Amino acid sequence: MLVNTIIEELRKVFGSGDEGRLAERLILAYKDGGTRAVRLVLHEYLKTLGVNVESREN
Amino acid sequence: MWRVERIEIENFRSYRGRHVILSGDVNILWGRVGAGKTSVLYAIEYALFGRQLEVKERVARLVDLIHSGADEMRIALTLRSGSSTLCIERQLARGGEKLIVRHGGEELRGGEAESRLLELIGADEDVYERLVYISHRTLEDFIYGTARKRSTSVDRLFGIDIVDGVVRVIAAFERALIERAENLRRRLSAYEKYKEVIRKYGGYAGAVSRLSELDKEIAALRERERELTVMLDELAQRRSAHLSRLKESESILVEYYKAKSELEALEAVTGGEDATASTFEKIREAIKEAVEEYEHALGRELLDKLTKSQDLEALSAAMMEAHDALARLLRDMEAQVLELRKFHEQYAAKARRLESEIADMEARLRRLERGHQRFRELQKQYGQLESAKAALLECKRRFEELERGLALFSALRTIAHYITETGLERCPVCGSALSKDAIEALAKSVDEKFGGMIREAERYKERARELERAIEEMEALNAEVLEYLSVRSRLEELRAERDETVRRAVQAEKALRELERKGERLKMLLSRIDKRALLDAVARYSRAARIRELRRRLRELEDALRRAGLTGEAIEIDMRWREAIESLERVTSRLAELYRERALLEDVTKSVGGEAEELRKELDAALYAYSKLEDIKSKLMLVKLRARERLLEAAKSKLNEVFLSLYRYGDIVKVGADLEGRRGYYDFHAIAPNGERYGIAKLSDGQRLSIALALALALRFISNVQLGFLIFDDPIPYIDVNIRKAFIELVRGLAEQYQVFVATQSEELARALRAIMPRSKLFAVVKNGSSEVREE
Repeated sequence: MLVNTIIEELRKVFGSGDEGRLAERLILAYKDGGTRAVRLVLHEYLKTLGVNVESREN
Repeated sequence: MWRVERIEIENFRSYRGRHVILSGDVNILWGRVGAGKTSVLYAIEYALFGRQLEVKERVARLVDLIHSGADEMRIALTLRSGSSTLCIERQLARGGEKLIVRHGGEELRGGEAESRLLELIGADEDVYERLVYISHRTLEDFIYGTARKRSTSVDRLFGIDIVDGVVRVIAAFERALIERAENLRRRLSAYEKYKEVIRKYGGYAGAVSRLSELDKEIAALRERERELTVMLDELAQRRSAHLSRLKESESILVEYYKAKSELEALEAVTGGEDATASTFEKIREAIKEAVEEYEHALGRELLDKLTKSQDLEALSAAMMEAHDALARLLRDMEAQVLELRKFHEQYAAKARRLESEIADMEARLRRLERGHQRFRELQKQYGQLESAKAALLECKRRFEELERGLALFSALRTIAHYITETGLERCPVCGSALSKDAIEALAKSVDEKFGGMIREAERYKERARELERAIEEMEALNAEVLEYLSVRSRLEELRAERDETVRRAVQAEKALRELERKGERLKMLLSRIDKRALLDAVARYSRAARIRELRRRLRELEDALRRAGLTGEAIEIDMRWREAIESLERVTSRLAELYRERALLEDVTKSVGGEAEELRKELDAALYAYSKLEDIKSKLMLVKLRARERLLEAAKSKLNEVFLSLYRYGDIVKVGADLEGRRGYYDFHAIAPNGERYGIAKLSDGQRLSIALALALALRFISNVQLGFLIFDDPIPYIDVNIRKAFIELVRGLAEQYQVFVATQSEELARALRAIMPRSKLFAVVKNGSSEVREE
């Protein structure tokens, strides 16, 4: 219920485009795999923008 | 709702061997720090969610849960809901994990078991850790924290901290992007600084390549330096035996080495060839001959210089001057050749044009020839046109006269025939008497005369017709004849002009061939003796002279050294020693240069690290990515505020009801919550029986604790969690009598609805809980090598 509410609001704010899908993936990645999973998703996303950076572990 | 009935732990974390805990409605785990209380709570969580502990980073690696002295572990958890039992058994070995779920007579394993389990308990790991497993952090921040910390703790309950977690990771990537951009800017700035250096090596890749070459070159030179040092030591030792004599003859030796070195250098240039003056003399002769041939153009003075110059400098200067003059002459000749060729081509073209014109005229003349011939024939027959016209007029005049005579004779003939036929004796005209014979003779004479006149008239008539035809034809031919004459005249002119043009073209061609032949000869001479060859010949001649001089001087110096008692061996050693020093100096100097170059290139590669275009592209990409992340981050913050609003609205519906069921002192009759407008923080408040409203800051710690728990329970209610227990892991670690008392009261209230687990390191809290709830179970957790749980 809690995450579903966030996802619903996210779809309203981001819409259903690429950015919306990415934001949804980030939320679900965090829920299922924590910061490490989010880092992986962002790393992949940035690679599609031609940037290969790793964030530092917090 | 499911309650925990039995917990079986085997080789889990600090628990060695098998341990069984039979739980009650209220379970108090008491023990010092590190005794193993949290391990019992983790055992429940692990049984329910398995690998999620690792995923959520509650443990670094799942295998770390296995007791250090064992190879595998096992947790068996029995849950009960009314008459229904749910048994969960998880085994973990270093090779992998096994799950068995038994429920309603079914035994499920693996993925199927995981799905069924999730379905039965109605909460995933996320909800569990927010609303079931309540850590001291959640409560502390809510009770003691600032408005921001309180909001964060509520966000944690609501699951909105997921957004914060994502935003934190995004911010970390943004920092990394900013660092990358800064780094790229520094590199680009370094690129600008070293632009000239990089360009010198043909680009950044060239600089990198050169750097790797430099390492090899430096290694080779260092080896050479080592070899020379060894050689130098050896030569210095051998040289020491001759040192006194060498020093005495120092000045001669210096000159000797200098001369020898110069000679060797010169011989190296000549390649050991014994240079003579013959080549130089041949070149000189060839140039002189050419200058003589073109003396009329080049002047006598130059020839004199070539003939009379004695010293090498003057002679080589004269040869260079002559070479230049001949080159200039050749250029002039080539210009003349071009001009002559142009003239020749013009004449040839004109001749061709005239030929073509002549051919046209001849064709035209042939076409007019027949008419002209006919005119000539008519002229021959009838004379000139004017004569023919005069003859025609005369002929016509005569014919007219005859016509008039014929009319008269015709009348006479008529009268005569009338008289004859009628037999008249008198003339009907004049009335004179007529004789028959005379009349007959007259008639006969008139007939004869008339006939003669008629024939003559016919001849004139015929002649007039003939003349008319001839005149008409001549007049018709006249224009053609005139054209014929004109064309013939023009043809003669053209033929004369063509003959003249052909003559001039032949003359031009002849002159052209002559000039070309001369030019070719001069060109060959100059190509054979180009300026470089000339300079080379002079240099070689000069070198040869110097070599001869040096050889002579070396012989003299060698004699002097022999007289000074220096043997060839001593000189050889000294010379090699000096050469070795020079070589070593060169190597050292070169090494220093290479070290400097390497240091510079290392700086370039370290501070630039790529081609400018690539760096710029990377910078643009990093800045673009940063802007995208900023956008996503700001939208996520908006999502967070909107989710806060919605979840708070949902929780509010149950908050008051749950709060009043827990808090029974009567000094608060209502609690509520809103979002403050400015920062979006949660704003909790309580209303007293007199209607007065209190903000959360004015509430006691116990009241705040009650609100926090009420909020968590309200959320549990609306989240449809099927787990009927609550876990408090070290909930109140502070020694605060009031809050402890409030907490105990709350647990007593909660125990009416939920199964409760409290893990605490405070014996006092544990005893107080037990005292107020005598039916609760108190477990002492101790550790002596392995953890143990003893029910008291």
